[in-house]
Amino acid sequence: MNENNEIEKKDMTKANIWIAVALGIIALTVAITPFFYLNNAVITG
Amino acid sequence: MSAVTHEEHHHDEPPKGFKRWLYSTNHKDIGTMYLVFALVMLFLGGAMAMLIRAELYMPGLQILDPDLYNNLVTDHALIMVFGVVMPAAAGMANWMIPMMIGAPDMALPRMNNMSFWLLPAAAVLLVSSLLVQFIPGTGTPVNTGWTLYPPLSVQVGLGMDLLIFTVHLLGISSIMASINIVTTILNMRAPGMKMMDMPLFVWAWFFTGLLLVIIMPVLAGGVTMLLFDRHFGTSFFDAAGGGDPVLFQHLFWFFGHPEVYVLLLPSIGVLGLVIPTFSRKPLFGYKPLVYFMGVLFVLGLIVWAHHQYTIGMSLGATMYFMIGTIMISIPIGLMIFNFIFTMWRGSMTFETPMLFAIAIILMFSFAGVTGVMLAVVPADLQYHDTYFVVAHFHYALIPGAVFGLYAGVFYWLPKWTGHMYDEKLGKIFFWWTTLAFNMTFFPQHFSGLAGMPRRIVDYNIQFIEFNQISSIGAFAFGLSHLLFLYIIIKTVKGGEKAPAKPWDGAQIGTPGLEWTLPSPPPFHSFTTPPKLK
Repeated sequence: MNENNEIEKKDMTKANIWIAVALGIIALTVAITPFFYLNNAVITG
Repeated sequence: MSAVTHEEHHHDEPPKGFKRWLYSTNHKDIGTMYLVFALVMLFLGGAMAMLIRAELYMPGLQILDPDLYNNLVTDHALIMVFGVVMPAAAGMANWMIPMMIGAPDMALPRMNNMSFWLLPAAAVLLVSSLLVQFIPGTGTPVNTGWTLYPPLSVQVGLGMDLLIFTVHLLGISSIMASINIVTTILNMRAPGMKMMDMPLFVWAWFFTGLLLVIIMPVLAGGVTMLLFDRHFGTSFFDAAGGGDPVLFQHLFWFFGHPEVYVLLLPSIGVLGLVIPTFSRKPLFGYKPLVYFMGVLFVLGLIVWAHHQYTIGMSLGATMYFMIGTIMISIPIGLMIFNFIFTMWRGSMTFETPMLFAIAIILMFSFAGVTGVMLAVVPADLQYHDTYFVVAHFHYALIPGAVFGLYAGVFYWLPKWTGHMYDEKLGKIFFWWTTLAFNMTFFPQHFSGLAGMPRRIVDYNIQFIEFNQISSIGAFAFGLSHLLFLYIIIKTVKGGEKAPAKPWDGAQIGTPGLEWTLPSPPPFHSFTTPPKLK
């Protein structure tokens, strides 16, 4: 609280972006995992 | 914690014209767009269901050819899951979560705008995938069902490519929306509001968001591999090239089974608000309910292959998936007991949201019972791909997810619009839709047990009565939604003025801050963090 008895706003922008980036990396990792799972997929064409 | 002073409301007006919606970063406007989108798609997916049931009214081919029939089955499922239930739940999350936790908006408002606007693009692609079959030379329609299993999905025509891109857009949209919601919940709560102070709906969306971040990319990856197999010479799913079509099934169901909880959890969150409100009693076992949702989150991720008992897994794997699946009935059963104990000796009243909540408990439990039957391997080998499965998952998803959304709509319509809805019409809608739903899907248990296969346009003459009852029920179910639409339009246009807290029992035991705002809330709310007492 400041001297006017108001709750001060906290800038959460950086923290928001960091969490979003962390979750995005999890999503990306999960998305590409299946491509590595099958090591015997071959090009037939 | 229950009281709060909210000192200022910004009275700045929303932008005028289309820019308000196209460029919107306001959580309420984006929530409204999600809800309207879901309503439009409900009628599109519903129209497809009507065509399917019209075809099945009689055995033999009536109005649809088999490929078109199966394409409609595919698109009906995809639209209802990705176009209706998920956007409607996301719309409610957008509207309510910032107001419940005292945040001025979502954590990432611009990303919020993009999450929504990818949806209409995906809808256009999805409809195109259906229509493209009418252009000569584009190959077979997408007759795979929503599971998109290869090898069939590698062989069908251009519609499949459009559908794969649809899934990509839907995936990006829901991953971004989930990241936004989880970030908002973690970072944007009013000062002094702890995680364990949050309304159950917020907790439900926290787990839903995390689930989506984990599962949605797997589907996106799986369909991308399908695209590679179709056009770029790989053979991920082609046994002739060293691949394995069963791999796709595992990838699909690693997404598909937790997806069921993605659809259910927001509705469980709504129940956690509606039942205490109309029982005028605090939620029984708030903390255990949060833990049960956590257990559901974990178990949901590790039991996917119960959809694949017939592929010939090892005995050990089959046992694991069977026992794991049956274990899911424990947290869900306990949740249901918690809701019943909340009602026990409460001062209950039966407004429309409460009627839906009670119907959910009854009918979703029924789906739970048939779910345990399907989890048991020897039984499932008999039920697999019959109408018993169709009946089971419609009992799970219509009461479990859709009725939860109806409960949410009626519960929050006064808050969203500033007007009370017509209670009498709401109750008529409840009884009409509940009876019609049961008439549609209850007989399908019997046709399924008698051996009627799903996803086939024709059927043996012995199933005719069950199918006719089902079709008549389905038409009545579809028709009831015109009343739903009428109630919503009527409430938006006017009606009795809704107070800030339209329900007597709202906020009993739940510290959500949404009721401290007027109805409808100002365009910008909680621009100054609220003081929690």
